[in-house]
Amino acid sequence: MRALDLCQVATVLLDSSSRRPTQACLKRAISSLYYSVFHSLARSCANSFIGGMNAGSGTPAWQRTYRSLDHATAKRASQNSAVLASYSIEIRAFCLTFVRMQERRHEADYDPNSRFRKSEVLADLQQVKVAIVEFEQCTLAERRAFAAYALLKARS
Amino acid sequence: MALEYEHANIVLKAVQTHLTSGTVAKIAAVPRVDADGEPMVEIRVNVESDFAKLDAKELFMLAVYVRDAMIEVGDYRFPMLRILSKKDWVELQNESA
Repeated sequence: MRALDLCQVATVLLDSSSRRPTQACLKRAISSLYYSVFHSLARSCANSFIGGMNAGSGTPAWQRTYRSLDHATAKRASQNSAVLASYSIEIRAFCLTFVRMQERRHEADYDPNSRFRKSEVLADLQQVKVAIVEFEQCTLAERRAFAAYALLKARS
Repeated sequence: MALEYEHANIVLKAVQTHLTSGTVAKIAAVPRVDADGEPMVEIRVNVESDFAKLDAKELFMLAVYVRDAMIEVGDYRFPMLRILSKKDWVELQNESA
């Protein structure tokens, strides 16, 4: 499964009705969009540490690295504006998309009173798709540096 | 609150400057906390244009410009951008009132 496949799932949910999508569809779309960003980052971490296609992907080491990405740690890393200042604007925008979509997923999945509008989820969909494409186009060196920052604990 | 109002204006300017593909009619800044209890600000942007015509890359970069504008005035809260059509904006504002 590729990260953008989950964006396609969100598109299907948004187009599921000729009228307004139900709140259930909007909420599942938001959840899919967050996971598309999360899996994009997890894949990038594994590819940049272990190796991508024909190098290490699919090996136990690759899977272990992929699975080691933690939601809370990645969120904290993505919110640290002081550290992120040294990264490209594409990485910074990706990080803000990650944090925003994680927060929206929390609302969608855990707050029964939350309500979403189709227009805002469409805007989310557009941004998430660009976030993933732009992130994947960043240099390997930068994605590797960000992977180290997002995955590994710093010791004081 | 004066400070809140001033920051909302700064955010509005940042959005209007960088979102050139749609007309930004209104903005509302609503203070709240995130799932971890950290302070954040929900920024509702009313875009009066066809959503399909909005520039996806501009939308994607917008958060960085808003974040930078807020940090410049000493506001380190996370900006939670919600880009809404006029119709959805009106509904949301009415529900919040």
